[in-house]
Amino acid sequence: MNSDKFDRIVLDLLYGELDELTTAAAKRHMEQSARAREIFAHFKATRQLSVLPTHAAPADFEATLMDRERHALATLPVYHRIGRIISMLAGYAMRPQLIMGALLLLMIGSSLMFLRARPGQHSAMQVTERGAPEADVDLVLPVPTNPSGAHAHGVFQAAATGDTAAPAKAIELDVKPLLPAAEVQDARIAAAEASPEGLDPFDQAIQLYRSGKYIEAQRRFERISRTGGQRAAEAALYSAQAVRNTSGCAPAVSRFERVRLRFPGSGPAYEAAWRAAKCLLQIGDVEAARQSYESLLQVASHAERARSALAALDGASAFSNGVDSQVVAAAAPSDGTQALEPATGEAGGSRGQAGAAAGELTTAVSALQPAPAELATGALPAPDAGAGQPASP
Amino acid sequence: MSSADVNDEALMLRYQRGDRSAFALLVKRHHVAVFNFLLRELGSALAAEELAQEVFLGVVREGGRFNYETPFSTRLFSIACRLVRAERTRTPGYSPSGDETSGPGSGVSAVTSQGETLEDSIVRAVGDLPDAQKDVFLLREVADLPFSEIARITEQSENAVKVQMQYALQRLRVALQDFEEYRRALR
Repeated sequence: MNSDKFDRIVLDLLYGELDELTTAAAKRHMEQSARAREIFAHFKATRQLSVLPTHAAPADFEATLMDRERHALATLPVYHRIGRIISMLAGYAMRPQLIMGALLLLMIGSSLMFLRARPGQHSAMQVTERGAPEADVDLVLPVPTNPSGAHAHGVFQAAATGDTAAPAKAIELDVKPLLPAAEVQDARIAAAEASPEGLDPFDQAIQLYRSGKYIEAQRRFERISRTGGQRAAEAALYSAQAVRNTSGCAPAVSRFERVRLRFPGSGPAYEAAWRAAKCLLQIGDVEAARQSYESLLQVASHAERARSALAALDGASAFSNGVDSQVVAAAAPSDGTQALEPATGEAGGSRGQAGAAAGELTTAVSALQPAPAELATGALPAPDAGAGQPASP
Repeated sequence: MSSADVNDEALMLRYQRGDRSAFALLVKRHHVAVFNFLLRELGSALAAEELAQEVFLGVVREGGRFNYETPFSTRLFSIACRLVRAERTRTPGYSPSGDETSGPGSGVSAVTSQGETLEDSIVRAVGDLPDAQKDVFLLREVADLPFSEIARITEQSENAVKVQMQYALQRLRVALQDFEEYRRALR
């Protein structure tokens, strides 16, 4: 350090504003330079003696000032007040806790948008398992209270043959003296809407079922079935069908089976067996479905339908076996040795054979598929007939 | 953390949010320094008290524009210096003490120790300093501000502030050198 630099830093040294290294260098310079020592000594002595006496402020200084401050705040110009408010808001906004809290609220708010309003209240939604559209016509028909001979037989026979018009005709016969069938039904619905107590519980449940309120209908049918009575079997069958409509085939099979076991030998029990078989087919349990169909072979009202269904099952299994054997035959080369050879030309020949087999397969499927006319007459049960449709006991 | 540990800038932030007790604490911390600075600048306790109140009210009025990168004391004494300059030009008969850049000895009357205490000599010598030197000296000794902050308040470079401080100390040295205390301090 030289004298010029010492002169520049001497005040910093005097007031302790130098870093340690420069302070040490300045002290070394003062040890070597008498001039530097003298300058620093005079400054130091002057500073030591130049301490001005401190006077206390007047006693009421703070109180007066706070009063004036309150008055000044009250009379601040508008732009100063706005600036003050903005400053206050900015001071709060700069807090990281507030920012994190705002982000958390934003996340919670956006998550709430994806929540369902009332989970579990979507009972009206229907899902068809196989993708077939639900029929517009409600085929559900109440079983007569006392299925007497010809009438009951007519209803079940009509159901067995798949003739959808026949049951309607049968009912029409009963109500013909009073009103046409459609008008009777409308009158009953209107009566149920006007005064639900005007109908008996079974009819009320029927109305609910027909209006698509399957859960409520199933609950009422269950109650009727538990209390017993003449229509307990019908109610149990309707209850099982309501389960079928709301929850699908898997849970409905056991319900149908329960109807069959609780009311053996009754019309609803046979219909339950028939519907259970259809459900079993839909869930892929072919053997159980076959057994259920076979159990109906001895029932006059369902024998014909059961036979047709069994024939269709046999045909389907024969088709499946035939397709398997054809596919195996098409895939197998005429000469095993050639098939193993990786020659390009022969590989093309093999592809030609496979293409021919695929063509035969398409033809076989077409031949085995039932004609639409057969389906319409009910000679063969449609693959998903009744899937998602209301019951027609 | 007690209120005594909170720094001035945090107290000012609290005051901006409406906490008047923070402002009271700021007043309590700084009012003695401000009052003594103004007393030495103006030479009148009454004027110093009035101006000290105006300094703090200036803080109130400028509270919304407070810059937190500037220390509160710097802001406070900036207002004080501005008011002092305004007072100097406003007061009739006020005249600056002379050439502000002049060195020691020029424009300063000889000071003797006869019939005058050391304290009186110091007060008179400080009062006789040119305004620029007096501002720097008082900001350093009374307000205890570092040279860098004094440079911001007086709007000069730091080197210029140090030069003014050297001149001020050399003038005071002339005023004090006849006192026995000064000679003792030199030893």
